[in-house]
Amino acid sequence: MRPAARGDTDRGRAIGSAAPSGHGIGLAGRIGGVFGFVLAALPFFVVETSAADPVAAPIAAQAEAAAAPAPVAAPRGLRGDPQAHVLEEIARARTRSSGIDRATPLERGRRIFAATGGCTCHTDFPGEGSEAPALAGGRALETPFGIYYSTNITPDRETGIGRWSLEDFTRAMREGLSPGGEHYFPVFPYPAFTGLSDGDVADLKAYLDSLPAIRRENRPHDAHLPYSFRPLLAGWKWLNFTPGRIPDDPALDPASNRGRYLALAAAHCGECHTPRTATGGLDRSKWLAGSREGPEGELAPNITPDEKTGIGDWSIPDLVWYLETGLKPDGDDTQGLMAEVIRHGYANLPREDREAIAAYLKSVPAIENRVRGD
Amino acid sequence: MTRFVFARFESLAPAPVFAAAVFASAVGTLWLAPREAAAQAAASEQGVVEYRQLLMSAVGSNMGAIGGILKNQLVRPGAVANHAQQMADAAKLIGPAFEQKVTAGKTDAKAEIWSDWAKFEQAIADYEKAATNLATAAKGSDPAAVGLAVRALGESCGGCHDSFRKPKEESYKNR
Repeated sequence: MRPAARGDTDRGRAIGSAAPSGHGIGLAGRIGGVFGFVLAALPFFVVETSAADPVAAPIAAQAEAAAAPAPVAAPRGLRGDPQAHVLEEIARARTRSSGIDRATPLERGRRIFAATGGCTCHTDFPGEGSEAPALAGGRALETPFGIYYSTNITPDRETGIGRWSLEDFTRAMREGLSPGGEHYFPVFPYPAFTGLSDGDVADLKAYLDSLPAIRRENRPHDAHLPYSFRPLLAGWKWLNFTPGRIPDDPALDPASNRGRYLALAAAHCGECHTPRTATGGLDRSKWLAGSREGPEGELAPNITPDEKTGIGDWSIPDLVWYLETGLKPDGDDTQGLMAEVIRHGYANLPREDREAIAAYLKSVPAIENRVRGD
Repeated sequence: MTRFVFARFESLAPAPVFAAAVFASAVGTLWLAPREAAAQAAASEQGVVEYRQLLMSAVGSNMGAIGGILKNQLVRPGAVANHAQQMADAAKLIGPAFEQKVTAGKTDAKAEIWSDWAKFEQAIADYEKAATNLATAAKGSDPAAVGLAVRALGESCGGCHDSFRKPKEESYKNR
């Protein structure tokens, strides 16, 4: 019962490489990464994570005065803004017109499942010719801290999550805690999923519960000390994890806010496309600006609208098309994890959700950060 | 005529000098020849890679054009079918383009192409079939069928790119 997917500690190593040079960070960084928070680094990271929070940043930029003390609090204040209220109304009307309200929990759950990218980290895709036990876990997720194995999230009562209550599931998704109260390793991207609405979490569970139960025992993680020591995760969470819903950004129109919600809370774009700090948290000053140390050693491109190093030259139709087909504007296709999450996830979203994500991606600040040569 | 020839021989250098010249040119030929051949081989390997990449660009351009039409909802009667047919035709050129094994230089072709040639050819055949399917679907009037055929064609690119093309992390472009 240790759900873990890819994510926070998945700072990459070169594909197929066991060489130390392939590791994302050096020994000092790793030691610092784990013990740093009890030492001098602590105030620095606390400041860093709060001040440059991408969730709060656009709002803080809007309401300039709000920046210093508690940027997260700013949106709550702004929610009373009459214009924001109108925008919310428009969003609701749009939601109604798109039929979300009329959909069954299962249909809504399938939609949010697609928005997460199809939870593909929980499927151990085998070599060709054999069937993947869908969502039954066991996939090795290589990180600089060791190998973590994803878990069985099928409704199997013995080896999966078939016995979980909605409360158990919600706590896992939103707080990173197992039914027994253990901390999950942040390879499971609960720092993103914490932003999901209660309704979406419940619908997602309804959808997962409807899938075939597969009996497959979870594999213990192969992480070395101290990275296998769960109690330390309390410190990690204190540094890098802010539980709670994501407030709308009043600077954005309803469609972009829907896209922002999907991108941040469900699709967890930032978990791969944002580089990480020494403690393994997201470097929010480089939000979506790409990482050379993506999960499984993959290079995650800069997806900000920067013209030179990002995807500033991609139009909204380009982005929508890409999220459906995996085909780039030049006609090339996509490999690796992105191909998986498109095929098993984003491609199955309703078109308006892909459009919303595209609108959000066009709205994020352009950051110059070259992660690839071409 | 005879006089002319005689006159030429008269003017020739003494025999030892002539022999030395012949020897020098022979040595020169022997010494230079392999180098020249090597340079030629390198040039032709580069040429092989260049052609492979141009062929792949042509395939990609057609795929990009199909996307350009569909995602921007352009009205181009018959164009999607035409581009798809060009992609199907290009499939016939891919195998021959990769016959000569070249893995050195500015290429992302993996050696597995030549160690698993049968799988490579099968992936090309699957791609050709997917392109033909799209050409057929695009002549019909069912947009959903076109959409599915496009996705299938896009995924068929992965038949080779997943196994036989170096991932972007290892691409010569990122070295």
